[in-house]
Amino acid sequence: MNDTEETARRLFAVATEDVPPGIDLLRAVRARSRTRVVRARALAALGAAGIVALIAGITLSAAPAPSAFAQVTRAAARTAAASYTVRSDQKIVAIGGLRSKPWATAYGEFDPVHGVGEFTDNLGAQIRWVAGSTYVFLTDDLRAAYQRTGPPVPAGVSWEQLAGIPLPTGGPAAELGMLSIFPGFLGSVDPQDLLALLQSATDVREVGPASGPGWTGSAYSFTVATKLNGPVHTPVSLRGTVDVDQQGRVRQLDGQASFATTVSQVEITFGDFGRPVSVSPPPASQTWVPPGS
Amino acid sequence: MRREVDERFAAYVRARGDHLLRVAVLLTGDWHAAEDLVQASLVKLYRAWPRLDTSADLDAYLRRIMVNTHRSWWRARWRREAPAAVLPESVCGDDLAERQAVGAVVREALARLPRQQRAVLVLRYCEDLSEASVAEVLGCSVGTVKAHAHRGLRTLRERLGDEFDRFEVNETGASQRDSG
Repeated sequence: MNDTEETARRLFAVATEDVPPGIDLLRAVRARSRTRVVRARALAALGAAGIVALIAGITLSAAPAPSAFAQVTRAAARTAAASYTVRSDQKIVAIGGLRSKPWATAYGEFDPVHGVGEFTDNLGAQIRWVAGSTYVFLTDDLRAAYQRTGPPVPAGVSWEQLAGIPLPTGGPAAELGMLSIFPGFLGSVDPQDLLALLQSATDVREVGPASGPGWTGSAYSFTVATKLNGPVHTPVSLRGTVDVDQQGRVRQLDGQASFATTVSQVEITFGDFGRPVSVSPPPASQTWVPPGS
Repeated sequence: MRREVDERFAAYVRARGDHLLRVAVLLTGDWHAAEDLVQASLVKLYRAWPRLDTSADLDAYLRRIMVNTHRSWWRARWRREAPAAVLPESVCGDDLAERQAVGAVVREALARLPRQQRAVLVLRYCEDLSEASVAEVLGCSVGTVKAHAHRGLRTLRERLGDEFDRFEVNETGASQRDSG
């Protein structure tokens, strides 16, 4: 299948996503079934009433989607459209085949509708997106970096404010590059961008059932291969599986992200869909705006 | 016996109804007409169900019913195609509203294609049928299917313009809209 045909396939998947509520495919069959009941009362007494009752129990929502690709892209779009919590576990498994780094874990919550979110990692670093700005907690490592490169961090402040960088941050391709290079670097994972990445997945196949605490669904394998927007257009890729629950939401995304010779393992868990998210900017007295930012 | 037949029919619709509806919306261009088309097709299937070998390819059988039913509607102008004066507005961003807007634009562009071209595109790129299978469903030659697919894609690309380009697949397999 050439590129134009593949594009048509993607567009058709998008064009069949927004099934309106209230569709009843069996209305006409039920009507015919009822007519048959009137015409053949004796037979109906045995079977037709049962047929009507049986068919009445069928709802469109119980039917599976047409393809694995459509299931995954629809789930990604649905998940990215409302609030959720996320846990991200990442580690570098290979840099040129030479070494690995331990797992880093981050927890976060996001509300894309209101443009707020926050991430906290297991080393105490924090990042917040609120009111159109990104706030980064000044860890010792970050302060040391500023000490080396400047500008100097004023005394008494705990946060730097990057104004005009609202959620979401980078684009999906940049996201994948960051994920590959800086696993565990807080802010390198924007779940909104990861969900958007799934829209360009290829080789999407259902691989079996999936389940977790309080949910069941299906697992799909996928591949995302793209290029960074920089001058070299370095290829980056993500291969793995995504679990979609029966409500059509992404529950788990596991895979290996590759950038040049660096390979990192990622395991990302989504949950608490629709839960209110409250994120406040740090106190102004503890906030520093780096010059030129 | 009848109950057993109906249980099997219900199970089939439960499993395939959503898929049938999505094929139908690409054939008809709007969800209400799609619902009508699937309902009408299911009634025909229901009538034939007791005589059918349900171990056979029911999808293929119903697909043929849907295409023929839609063809008869089109011929009778039972459903008048009324191209919108203005295409739904395209928006930027990756949210659900954008995808719904894109979906509406795609359905509208498909609905304006000649019926046979539209059927070929839907069967080929939504149903993933081979050219030979599409030819069998539509009762035409493989060459005709190829010609309709080529012209249909070309027209679709012209009509969708930027929307098509944004979903264009590059050489790495990723779409341009996701690259930055």
